[in-house]
Amino acid sequence: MARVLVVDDELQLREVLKEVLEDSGHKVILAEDGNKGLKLFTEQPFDLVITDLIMPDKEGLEFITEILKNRPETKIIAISGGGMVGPADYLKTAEMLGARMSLEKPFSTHDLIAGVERLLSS
Amino acid sequence: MKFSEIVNIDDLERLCEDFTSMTGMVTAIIDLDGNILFATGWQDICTRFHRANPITAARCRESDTELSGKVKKNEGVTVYKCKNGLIDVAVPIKVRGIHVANFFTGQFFLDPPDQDYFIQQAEDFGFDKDAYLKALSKVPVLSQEAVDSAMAFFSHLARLFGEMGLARKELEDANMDARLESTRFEESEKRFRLLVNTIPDLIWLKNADGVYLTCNHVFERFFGAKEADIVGKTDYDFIDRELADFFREHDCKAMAAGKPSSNEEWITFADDGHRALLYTTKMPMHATDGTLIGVLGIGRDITERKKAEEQVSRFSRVVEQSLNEIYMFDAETLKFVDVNLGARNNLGYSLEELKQLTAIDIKPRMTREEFIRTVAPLLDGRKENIVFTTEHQRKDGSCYPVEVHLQIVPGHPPLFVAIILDITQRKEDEKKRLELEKELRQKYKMEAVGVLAGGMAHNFNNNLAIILGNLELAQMKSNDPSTVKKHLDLCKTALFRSRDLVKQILIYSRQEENEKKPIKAQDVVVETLGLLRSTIPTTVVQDYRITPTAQNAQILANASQLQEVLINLCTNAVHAMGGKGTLGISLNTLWLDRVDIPLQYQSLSGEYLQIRVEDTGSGILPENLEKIFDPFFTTKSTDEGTGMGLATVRSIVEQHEGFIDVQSVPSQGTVFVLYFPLLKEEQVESVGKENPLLTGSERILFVDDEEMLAEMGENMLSELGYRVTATTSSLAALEMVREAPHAFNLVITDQTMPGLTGIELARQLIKIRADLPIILCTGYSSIIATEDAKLCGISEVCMKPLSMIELSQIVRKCFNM
Repeated sequence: MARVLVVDDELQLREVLKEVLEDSGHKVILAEDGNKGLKLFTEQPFDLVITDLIMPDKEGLEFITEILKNRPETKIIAISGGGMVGPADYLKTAEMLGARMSLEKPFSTHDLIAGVERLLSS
Repeated sequence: MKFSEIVNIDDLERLCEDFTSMTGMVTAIIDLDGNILFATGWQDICTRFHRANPITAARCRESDTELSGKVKKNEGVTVYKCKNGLIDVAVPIKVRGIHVANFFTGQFFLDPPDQDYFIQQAEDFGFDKDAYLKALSKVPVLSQEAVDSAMAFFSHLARLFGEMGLARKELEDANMDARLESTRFEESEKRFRLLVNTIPDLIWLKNADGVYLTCNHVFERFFGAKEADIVGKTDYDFIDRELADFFREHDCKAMAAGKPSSNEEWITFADDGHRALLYTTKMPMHATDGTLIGVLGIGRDITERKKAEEQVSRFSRVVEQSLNEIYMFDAETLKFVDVNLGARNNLGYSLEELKQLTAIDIKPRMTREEFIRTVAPLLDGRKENIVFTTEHQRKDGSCYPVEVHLQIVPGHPPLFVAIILDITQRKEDEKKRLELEKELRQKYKMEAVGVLAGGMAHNFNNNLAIILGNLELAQMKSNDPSTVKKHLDLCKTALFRSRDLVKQILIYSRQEENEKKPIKAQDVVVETLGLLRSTIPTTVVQDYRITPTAQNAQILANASQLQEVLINLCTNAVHAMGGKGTLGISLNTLWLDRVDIPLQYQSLSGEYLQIRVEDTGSGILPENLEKIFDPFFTTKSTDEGTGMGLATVRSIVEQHEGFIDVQSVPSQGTVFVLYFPLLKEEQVESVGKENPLLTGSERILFVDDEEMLAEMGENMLSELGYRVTATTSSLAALEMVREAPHAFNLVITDQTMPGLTGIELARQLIKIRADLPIILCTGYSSIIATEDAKLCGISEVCMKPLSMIELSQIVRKCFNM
């Protein structure tokens, strides 16, 4: 069982991710934006962070940068429906910043769980 | 006749004074009004005593009156004993038998007086007895004969004076009349000369031989000679022979005809050489006995009038010939009085035909009542002229758009004068301009759609992720029905959100429609911010604020246009901030007076919704601030923008009777402030009311080529109580209706199907049964505009996917139409 922090501004998606991960036997903590996620991350230990990128207040790229500044070894999966927005490809940027993996919404839960297991066992 | 007016009173008085000094007798003449014309030798007893004491004086007056009364009745002498004891005598003076005055004598006794009576009187009235008795002793005692002869003498004398006086007066009056007559004649003559000389016309009188008898001053100027020099001469002495012959000829013509003869003639004034056109009338003149005196001539200078007349006639010729349309019609009956060539040519009517018509007859889009309402400001004097547009109909039935410039000309009857401009060309130009503008705006909108697409994709993918996740969870937990239901419900919600998103972008990209509805501004703002959040870089912080009063504020607006405005301003703001900063959006309500509203806007005072869009960007240079709302003004490169954004924003805001204000500080930021009039309480509609599920039992044919959707439609409608037949073939559906046209009360069809499309099916069905209600379901609303669909006989168009509530309502709406 791993401790997973899920950060996404979409309530219903947070709920889906929580259920899928819990069904796989993990402990899931939810946050609705980068600020709240960062607070939880500094207070508690997590084995994995799954974060959305486009969010109000503190968006995902900044959140990833700050987490990795504190604990560079943190395993992060970036998820986004934004794809190509303007000149920047957010998911690629997230990976460049240090996210181990990225998933473009919508993604199958199998892919997510497979990714999660792969990261946790590495 | 007054005695004093016909007699020299002074002469008569002097005579009486002599008589008194000779005889000691008192005299007086009193006219019929009681005036004492003169009195001589009055006794002291009367003047110093009887007429000095109030009581005895009263007796004197009573005695005078009584005596006068008696004289009136008596022809001859009246003897009377006065109330103070003396004798008075009176005789009437008559002139030509008319009683004009009375002659009095008296203050004497006919018998020696009773001393005791007078002593008693002195005591009674407090007179100095000695002085009184001394005065009494002076009163003469006369014999009756002496009195009678004296009276006769005076009576004659007075009459004689009167008659002499009267004769003299008559003579004087006669002289006076003669003098007055002569003065009157002189004055009349003077007045006549003055009159003749004041008249600005030439006036002259010639005898039958053409010799001048008289003329006035103006005529003197014509000949350059004084009247005295003209009289006695003829025209031949002053002017050339030819003109003199002409005058003579007309003189003779008037005399021969025995009636006035008129002609126009040019003459040259001898005094200053100016020429004038005269209208001359020559009249034969006769004396009272009928003999011919000669010819009286009057010549009027009509040079100026003639000139003015020529100008007017030239002007009316120009008006008549003008190719602009000019109409005159009776302000009461509205019947045409005059219509110029330009109007007749365009209308194709002759003037005679038009005179049978009214101004309403050629205005097919206007009733008489509407016309009267329109021209009311002219009739009641509020306006001097009015301009309105309508259509005119030609004789051949064709119509053309016109701009009418109308004014009223007072008179009997008052007339309307209309100048009509055929604005066909202008209308066409206007139409072209509007189309071009629409095209440009649409192009701009599509640019914005491109910007929005990124945000759309993000939102859409989020929803798809939710749907996919929930579906997979449902599949995994298919043995637990309640969990499956929960996940499916979540799918449904996410699905509807996606549908709404698509609808929103379609609405936004659709060609403009101007329908405005009461909307809650906050909803549109929040929705737009949601859409934008995914579009704008996350380095831009959204700061959204709303005051409590603005939370339920409603405005009359087109939601998609309002959204367009907000997206415009927000994307501009983000651009100005270079992708980093704070985008502030705030809603507030406030009261604005007319003075708070910039002059160039016609907005009225009242309650307004204020929407502020603020950025912390580069700001706008002061020299650009005035130009930012101009179409095509842009600081972006050509591939980045059209420059239509802010022009569109302002145009939309103005269409909503609002206005826009902008403040900017370079390198600090810009605020765009929008103001929209708030809806008043009575205009507010309850927004977001409950949508009830409506049921029914009619028979419905449901057509969709997707088997699953056909089945779903059937299930949903059956749930609502309807009797449903579902088919996946549009051709089969057409056959079913052909066989039994009344087997169904309603047809619901998909648009995109093999065989017949929804619209093609609808066209065929309507041919079979014109009143069959048809609902068309389509996935892409802009392909089929509702109006076009209605032309094919389709009652309602709706967007897929439909919820049960929406389906139930749209079906009921069809049945209730």
